[in-house]
Amino acid sequence: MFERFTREAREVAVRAQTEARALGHNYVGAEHLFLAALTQPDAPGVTAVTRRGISAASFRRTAIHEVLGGPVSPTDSEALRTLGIDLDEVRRRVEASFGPGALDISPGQIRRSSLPWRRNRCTDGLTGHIPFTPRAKRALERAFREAQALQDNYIGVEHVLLGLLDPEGNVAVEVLRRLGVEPDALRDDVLTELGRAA
Amino acid sequence: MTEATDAAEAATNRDPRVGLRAVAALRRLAERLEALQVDNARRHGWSWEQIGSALGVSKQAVHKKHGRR
Repeated sequence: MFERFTREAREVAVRAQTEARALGHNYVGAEHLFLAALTQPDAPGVTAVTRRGISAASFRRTAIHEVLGGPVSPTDSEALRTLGIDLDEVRRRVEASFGPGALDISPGQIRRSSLPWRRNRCTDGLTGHIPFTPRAKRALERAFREAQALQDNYIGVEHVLLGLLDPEGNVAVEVLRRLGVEPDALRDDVLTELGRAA
Repeated sequence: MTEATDAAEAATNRDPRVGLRAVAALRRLAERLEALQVDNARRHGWSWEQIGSALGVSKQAVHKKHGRR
């Protein structure tokens, strides 16, 4: 499947696995692919995203807090305040000891039961290949078509990005909307950036 | 002024919706912190027995809960 992928685009597919694993997820979704692309700021098309003020950190935070609903949520913050607990302060201290996102990453606790592809669950959780979700597969298929449409004979990070900006929606698109970016507008930005680079 | 604020806060906290929501949030926070600390202890070479003892539960309980991660 990945024969025509550029080295950078392959790297996105590999890093998406790492992102999923780090978040304790047993699937690779569109959100993990998008995050993985963001970790390569020099790859084609990515500048169009970062120019919108989106970083891997802000995307990850929004995905966890607002879209996927991690175990410690923003509404928990209000509830804990009634007990005199400042969740931001707790988070600050935990991250000082255990690194960024430590409080929000919850292995095996993130809505596993609500996932329809539960049967594909990776049992060792550490080394195995984590399956792509149907939406992630769809994004990769779209990446092929985007490359064809642009008459490119390779699949690069730019095509993967365009593939992820699926008008029918996926978690990455949902996260972008929460960050105030419409997928259509971002698609135009990416195409403009490519036009300029060509 | 402070008295009025305190009274308002106490009244709010007696609201079961607020109180129960706070307990649930506290539990989630505690669970997350426990997972972090157990992982950290394992990385430091602690046995399940030592971890269970520190948490005040049996080694079987702590292993059953955290051993598969």
